[in-house]
Formats: sequence, C-alpha cells, structure tokens
Amino acid sequence: MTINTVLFAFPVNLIIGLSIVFAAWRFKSLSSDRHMTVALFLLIAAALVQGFMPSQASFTRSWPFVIVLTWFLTVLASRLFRRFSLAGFGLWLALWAGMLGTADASLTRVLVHREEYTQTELPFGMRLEDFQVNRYQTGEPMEYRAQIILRHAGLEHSKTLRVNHPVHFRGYQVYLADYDISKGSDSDYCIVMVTRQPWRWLVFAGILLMLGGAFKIFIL
Amino acid sequence: MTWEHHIIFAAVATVFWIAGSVTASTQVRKGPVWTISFYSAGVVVYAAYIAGLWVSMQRPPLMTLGETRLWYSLFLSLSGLITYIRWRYKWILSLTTVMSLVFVAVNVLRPGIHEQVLMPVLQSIWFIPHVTVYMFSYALLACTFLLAVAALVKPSLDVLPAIDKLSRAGLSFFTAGMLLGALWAKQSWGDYWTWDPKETWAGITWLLYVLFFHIKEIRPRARKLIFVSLILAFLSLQICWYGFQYLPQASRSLHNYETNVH
Repeated sequence: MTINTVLFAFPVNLIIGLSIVFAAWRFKSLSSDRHMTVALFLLIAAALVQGFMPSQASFTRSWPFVIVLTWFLTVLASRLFRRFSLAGFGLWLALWAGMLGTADASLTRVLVHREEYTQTELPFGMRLEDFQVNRYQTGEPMEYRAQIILRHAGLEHSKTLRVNHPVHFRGYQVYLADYDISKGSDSDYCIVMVTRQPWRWLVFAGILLMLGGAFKIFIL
Repeated sequence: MTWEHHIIFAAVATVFWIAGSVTASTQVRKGPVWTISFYSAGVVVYAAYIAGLWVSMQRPPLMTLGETRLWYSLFLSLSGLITYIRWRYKWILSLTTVMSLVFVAVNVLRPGIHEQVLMPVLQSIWFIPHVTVYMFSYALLACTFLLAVAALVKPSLDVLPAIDKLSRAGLSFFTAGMLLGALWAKQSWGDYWTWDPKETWAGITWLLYVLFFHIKEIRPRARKLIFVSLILAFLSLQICWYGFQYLPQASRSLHNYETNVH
C-alpha cells in the first residue's frame, strides 16, 4: 500500500499540484460546507488510523491517506478561491508543498566512521575526525560535538556538527543523530541524518503565513 | 528552591484560589475587587514558585511531565481569572481552581523530579516558546471544555460568547505551539513533521478543534453538537499531552524525554 514516491518526482508532482489548484478553481461547488465537513471527517479518520498504528508502520505514506489529503487540499483550495484567509492559505501551502515535496526529498541516515570516507549515493563523502561528549558535573551529557570532514570534488571541508546546529552543504542539510553511547567521546562512529528537501522553502512560507493567520485570529 | 517547597507554595496559592472562588460564587462582598485580588494573589504565589524553581535548577522547568503540570496549573488559574474579569461567570473560578488543584495534587504525590540539567536536544531558543505557548493554550482550551460541560448540564447558561473568544485564543496559541515545534523539529531532527506519536495526536487534536469551529460556523444553533465536538477535541488533547505515552508506539517517540537518552 506504500506509495513509490520515485514515480512522482519533479515535474510529475508539480503537475499534480497544479491539477489540484485547477480542479479547485474549475469546480466551484467543491467549496460547499458539506464538502468541507466530509473532507475534515475523512482527514481526521485517516489521522486517527496513524495515531493508533503500531510503531514504524507509516499509514501516512499509503494511498488511502494521500488520497484523503489530496481531497482535503482540493476542497480547501476551492474554499480559499471563494473566500481567502491567511491561516487557511498558510495551512494549504504547507500541506501541499509538504505532500508533493516528499517525492523530491531524501532523508538518509548515514554511518560516518573515523577511518574511511562514506560511500553513498550522496555527491560527497564524510569522515569523522573527532567526537566529543561534554558532560555536566552530574555526568549527564551537556553537548555532543562531532568534527566531520566533507569531501566533495577532491576538496575537503571540515565542519562542526552539534545537536540543533545542522550543517548546510551543497543543498543538503547534515544533522547529528546518534553515536556509540557505550564509548562516549571514544566513539568510532557517529550517525548523521542527511536531508535534501527542495520544496522546504514553500513549507516554511506556509508555516509563517499560518503563524501570521493564527496571530490575526487571536487579536481580532 | 526545590520540589520540597512545592507543597508550601501550593498550599498558600490554594487558600487564595479558594478564597477567590468562594467570594466570587457567594458574592459576600459588593464588588469583584476582593475576588480578583485573592485569585491574582494565588496566581502570583504559584508563579513565584515556578520562577524560584527555574532559578535554582538553572534551567527552565519545562522538561518533565511534572514540570509541565506546574505551568498548566498556573496558566489554568490565570485564564480562569481572565475569563472572570472579562465575563464575570461567578462559577468559572471554582472550576479552574478544582482543575488546577487536581494537577497540583498529582504533583504533590508524584513530582516530576529530574536531573537538573538540560539535555543537548532541548538546548534551543525554540524550547521555551514551544512549551509555554502550548501550556497556555491547554489552559484556555480547558476553560472552554469546562464551559461546554457546564452548558450541557445546565442548558440555560449562555456560554457561547465566552467559548467563542476563549477557543479562538486557545486554538491560536495551540497552532503557534505546533508550528514553533515544526520549525524546531526541522532544526533539530531534520524534518518539519515526522508523524511522531505526539505530533500525530497534536495534528488530530488540531483538526478536531477546526471541526468544532466548522460546525459552529455552519450550524450555529446546534448547541449540543457544538459542545460535544468541543469536549471530544479536549479529550484528544489529553492523549496528545500525556495519554500518548500509554499507546503501544510511544516508546519510539522522540518526545519521550523522561525515558529517552537524547
């Protein structure tokens, strides 16, 4: 049931996204209250399925969920054509770009060793140079600090990775995700999460608009 | 200041809160001045304890469930006070007092004691806004829940104007809490939204509140339906806040700071 997102890579996802907008504009009756009620009920039901799913199973990447979300986006867009609202548009943009952008996004967990550069599909290799766990007096970890070397086209770039402080490199974002807990600062490896999300700026814009809309609803 | 002092501050605040509730509902005094003074004093005393705990722990007390309960009691009594000042429902303070006290009592029996350190993932400028905004919205939405229950029990009560204002403010804050969390998640875990159990239940809760607003808009006279949808949304909020920990997939949740290492 899980969708093979590769099939929807750019420009297919953009075409589908524009079709949603076109359908919403063309079929004005979609903006009725009844359609919105049904779409909301379906989306809540779909989210509840995910809410009760056992761990790891991802209902949100399956056809039923995506069809329900697409339907919700179409009805919402149709209502926005009739009556614009900042929060509604922000929500629409974030969900629209979030859903379609999944097809072009890559999120990979990579094991980075001290000895040799990683061999992955990424356009650059990574090697762990130094790893430090700084601790509080109680022994609890205060900071994880990984010094990694990124090798791209023969050039080496040394970067410091910390939790909450990702490194941006050639259109990718690199996050410190894990290390060898049993060895602490002597860890022979760290695990990084490498993401590439070309649509993320649209999601970001949607979130900002929605925040603005929420603020507007609060003060009015 | 430590958790040992909690019971002292809580007792003093409780006396003030009860004094405020009693003067409000019996109106033994002419004006609301005494009520507002008593109740504000309770809020201030409880806030002082949280501030003291913050200073002595050298980190914001927002990490454990027990610590978020402190904020919840504080914001619940504060939003009860705001509701009273604005709409003068003489029974609202009694209800918010009872709810605040439930969480105070849970904290007296099971305080959220934790190492006085902040793990790396929580060391972020998003941390304080994300949690306090959420706690404040929970408190406002709890007030709307109380109003809805009261209206179901006693249909003659006209609570809709208050529910309207409070739920708007509550959902605005809830939305802000969720979106600040999304921005933080991108910074720290790599994606805005990963369908983590807590995120999923926040999403469900948010949608249920949107459904409530939708019903209120298209069926303004279906009072029962409006109140029931509001109550359902608040029940979902309980799963989002702490109930999700008892669901099978919760151990994998990135939000489980009381058991996770990082």
